[in-house]
Amino acid sequence: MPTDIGSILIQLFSGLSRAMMLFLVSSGLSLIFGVMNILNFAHATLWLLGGYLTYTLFQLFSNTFGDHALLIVPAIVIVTGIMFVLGWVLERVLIRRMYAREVPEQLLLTFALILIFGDLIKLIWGVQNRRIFLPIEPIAVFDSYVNPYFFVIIAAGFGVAGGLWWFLHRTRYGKIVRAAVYSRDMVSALGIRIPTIYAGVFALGIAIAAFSAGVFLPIMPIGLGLDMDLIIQCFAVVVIGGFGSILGTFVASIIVGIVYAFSIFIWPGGALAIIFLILVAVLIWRPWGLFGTEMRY
Amino acid sequence: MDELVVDNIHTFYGTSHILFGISLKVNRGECVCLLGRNGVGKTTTLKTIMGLAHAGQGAITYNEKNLIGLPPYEIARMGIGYVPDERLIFPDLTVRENLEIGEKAPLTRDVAPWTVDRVYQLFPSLKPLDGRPGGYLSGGEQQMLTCGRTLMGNPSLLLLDEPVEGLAPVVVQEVTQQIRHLKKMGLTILFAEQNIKFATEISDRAYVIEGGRVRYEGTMEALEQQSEIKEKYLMI
Repeated sequence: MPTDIGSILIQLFSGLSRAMMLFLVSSGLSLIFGVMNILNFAHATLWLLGGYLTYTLFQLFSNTFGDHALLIVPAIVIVTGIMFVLGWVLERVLIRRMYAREVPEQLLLTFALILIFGDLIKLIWGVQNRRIFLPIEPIAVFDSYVNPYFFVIIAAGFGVAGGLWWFLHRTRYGKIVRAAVYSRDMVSALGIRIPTIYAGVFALGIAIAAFSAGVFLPIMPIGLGLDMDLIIQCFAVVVIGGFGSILGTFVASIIVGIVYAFSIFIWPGGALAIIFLILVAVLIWRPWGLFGTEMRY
Repeated sequence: MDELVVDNIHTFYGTSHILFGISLKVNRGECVCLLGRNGVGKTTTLKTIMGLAHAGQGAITYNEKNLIGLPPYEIARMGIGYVPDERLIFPDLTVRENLEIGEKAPLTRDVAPWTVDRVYQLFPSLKPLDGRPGGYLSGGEQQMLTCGRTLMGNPSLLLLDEPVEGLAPVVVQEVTQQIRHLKKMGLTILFAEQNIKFATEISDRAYVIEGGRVRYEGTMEALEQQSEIKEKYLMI
């Protein structure tokens, strides 16, 4: 293992940016589970769909307005909006029918969504990987070169984490979401329209995931199958951090992201195994996760 | 005039039959008590009215509007407030935030709406706890907060489930005063209680419940004379 500061920093940056993606996808997963008790197995597939849509929109913009790196910004914003609407519709039409059902039935429905959206992606975009090339010059850090786009990703991750914290702690809607994590019945008995809260939380989770897919396109090619790798790691993140805890999801994402980046460096074949060893350790030592609460109403 | 009419409701939890045809009426401005021991169906009756448990049969109307089949938030928006016995304080929200979650505009414009400050006037012991998370309150404080949170929704009918259960005698006296005060303000109250002594202090009428059925109904004075009913169905 190279031990110079430059290589270590590169692993650190790549680990941190990976952590940000894990956080952006897992935070929605965790929020949806915390509020509605729904394990959305299709979360990463919707993330993938968001990525493909951003890719297509970016190509469309580039063909219309000429090549410009910043065109990725409107593409990401518009796709985030589209996926928010899609999330809302999915919740209203399908997911809300699952609240009273058992977890295996929920998994059946969300697994069906994986297959449906997976095939839809195959039909529209084919099976080859897609990515966006942005003309970005690497910058020198000590003796190595770092893609400065890593900093954009890390900033976006911290930005969304901060925004989510602000939303959950400073807005009335966010406080209602936190209250609903404890008791949906009580929130409903206070006259709050629970169906709107549910649709909003689901749509928000999907929108954040789609946003992260767009932000990652310039450094990571997307393709079918990536959603399955991602969802499994996101489940690990959410379990390590504690379901329903945004802070826990954030910390667990950073742990998993950085451990993964350095493990790949040292023992490429065992990177996932190490993450699952951490998961097992957490399950033995604190089954409710690092920041989860032991008791729920 | 009858404000709330519950007519012959049967409620089930899964396959177990809990209520066997409960009927009751609450008039505007009245304070009515559901009396009975633990597990006789008092909480289920309140939950069925609130839409949190589902009546398989029977009718419930509030101001002549049907409540059966409506979700709890629609029922709350018709002016019914529910104070559960499990309290269900949102533990990581502060006292003020708990109250703010309950905020809902009054149905009529002629009454002054509840505000956080008015709740603190009614329950002075909550005021110094303003910024404290709800999970760090004592039982009595939590009870007052639950009640205040529901009042913030400006209900005209209050369903209280064992409001003094597990509270110290001094706190029970305080809560008794506060419920009397709410009654004086014109709120209609239907509450569940095990203890006839506390019930007598605040209620006009009582329904004695046992085994999911109403066994006796009458004014508190009349019930006072019924020593057989009291011995058979109540804790004395």
